[in-house]
Amino acid sequence: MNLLQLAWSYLRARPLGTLLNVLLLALGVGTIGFVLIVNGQIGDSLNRDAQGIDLVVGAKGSPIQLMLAGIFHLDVPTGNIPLKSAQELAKDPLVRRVVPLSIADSFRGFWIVGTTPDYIELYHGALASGRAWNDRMQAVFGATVAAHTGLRVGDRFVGSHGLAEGGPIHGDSVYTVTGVLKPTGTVLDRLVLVNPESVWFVHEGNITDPEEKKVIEDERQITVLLVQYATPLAAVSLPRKINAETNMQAASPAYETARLFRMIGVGADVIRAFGGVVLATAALSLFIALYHALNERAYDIAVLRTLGARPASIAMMLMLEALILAVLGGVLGLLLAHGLAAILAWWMARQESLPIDAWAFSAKELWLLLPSLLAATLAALLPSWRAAQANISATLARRA
Amino acid sequence: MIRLERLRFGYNGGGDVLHLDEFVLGPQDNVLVVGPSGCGKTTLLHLIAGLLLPSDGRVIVDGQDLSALTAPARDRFRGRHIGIVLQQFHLLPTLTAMQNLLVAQSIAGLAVDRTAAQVMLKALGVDDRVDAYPHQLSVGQQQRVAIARALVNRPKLLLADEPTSNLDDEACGAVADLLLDATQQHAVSLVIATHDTRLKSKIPRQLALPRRPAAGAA
Repeated sequence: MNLLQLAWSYLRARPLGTLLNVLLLALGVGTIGFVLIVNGQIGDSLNRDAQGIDLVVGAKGSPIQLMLAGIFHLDVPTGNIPLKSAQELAKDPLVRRVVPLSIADSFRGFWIVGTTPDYIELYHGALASGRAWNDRMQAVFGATVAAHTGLRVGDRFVGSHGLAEGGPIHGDSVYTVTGVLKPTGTVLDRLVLVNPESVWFVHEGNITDPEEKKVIEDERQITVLLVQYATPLAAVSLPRKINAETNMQAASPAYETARLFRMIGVGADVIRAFGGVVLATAALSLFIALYHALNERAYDIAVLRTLGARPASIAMMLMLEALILAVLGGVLGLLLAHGLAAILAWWMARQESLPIDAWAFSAKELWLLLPSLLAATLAALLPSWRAAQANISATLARRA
Repeated sequence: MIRLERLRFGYNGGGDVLHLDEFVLGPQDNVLVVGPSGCGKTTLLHLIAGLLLPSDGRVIVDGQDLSALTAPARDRFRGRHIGIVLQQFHLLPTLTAMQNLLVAQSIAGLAVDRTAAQVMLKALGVDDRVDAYPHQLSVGQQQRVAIARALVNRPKLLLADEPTSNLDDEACGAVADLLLDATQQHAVSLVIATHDTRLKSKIPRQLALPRRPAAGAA
């Protein structure tokens, strides 16, 4: 029967008050934790998707939209750029590698991207079954696409124009699935990959006249060019050169992601501040409960002192009550945070958006117990001190 | 067991509440502290328990001058060597009868000894209610558990403050017998502060405190 058990006995004796305080603490920690988990998961996800891409080049427009469309495939593209301009850029000595993306169609909400095998290599993608494409109208599915559509190697499908599922269907252009990729945890999982010729073929039709074919081939376009620099110095001159001297636009994923995060960050800050207010409320509620306990338990405290308890032990008893609540509230709050993240993850998965692993626990999250412990400690400070200072002789004499 | 020398106590550092030149209580002796309300009976008990310190003079319990101890050491001394029974026989309401005894052991810094607690509850005749909470016990059972708690650390001195003031004659006699039996059985000195004249027939030795002209809080 030590102080901890004694403190626990008092908490058990008033279950409703205990529950209220635990729930308030949990709500505060849960809200703050939710922002932390989602922020971290989205940040990780975006970083994985942007890895190895120094510059994204596409049609003029909003740089954030270009980045969202070109790298994360979360938005519609800003437009197309001439294939010739892209090929010219690839020859620039500041450029080490380019990956072209042609984005126009989709299949059941997943973008069909015309690209080169370099794109798969960029994300360290590997085939789970089948083989890569070696001709037009052959497609490789990302892991999520395969899982959601249920299509396997050898199955056939047609794309629809744009992202909307009810969009015009390219009925006469039938793709065959030749391969399915292993999950990579990147945007690759959510894409249907084909070669660029497939995208052109779908939109141009089968042209036989050689002259007409030549004209059309000269006017061919791609949507986005992902660029890897040959040297870090390229960051200084290349984007400026592209933006100023061509009719294309260059956006730096690192810069634009940071800019995007600053914009989302306001929302995150609001939610976090809300969590802080809830925590402050929890601390106040706890303070009131402990202060009441001081009066209700004045005689109990006096009895404990007659049994030999030191003032410090009495203070510790109240502090322990607060800390037990803090730990319970903190742990419950962490579960709540993951639960909320799971709901968001479920919703985002339905939108074919970024993947969130809601139940990934990290040791770092234990820091979230800190605000809970801090709130409880602050709430218990004054009551504990008062309890230690109480005049025992006077309390006992009043009753006698 | 108790030796009081030139004891003065007052809330302003004087001797306006209590004024006692000498008092000695031997081992296993019993004494009744009597006097009118407000004469300082409870104050004297608190001085002996080390809950209050005298303005002047000395309180020596079991050879230990209480003023010579630091505050924490005095608390520990009280927990280990002095049993206290309060008027209401107040038990901690969130703990069972057994836990009330175990907490007394733990707080005094002694090993938690369930067997010893069980023995003490049996000695007081409440060993069949060990897991009952105070509100589930009759008043008589609560008194017995409280006495068992006061004795569980085997103190040599038991202090009781007005233990019979709210009781009818029958209950008063029962509590007095309970206290006397327990003290005899466990070789404990007993000090009862009371204005209850019914106890005088049970404990012959009495320390009468006179009413002080400037008596403050008791």
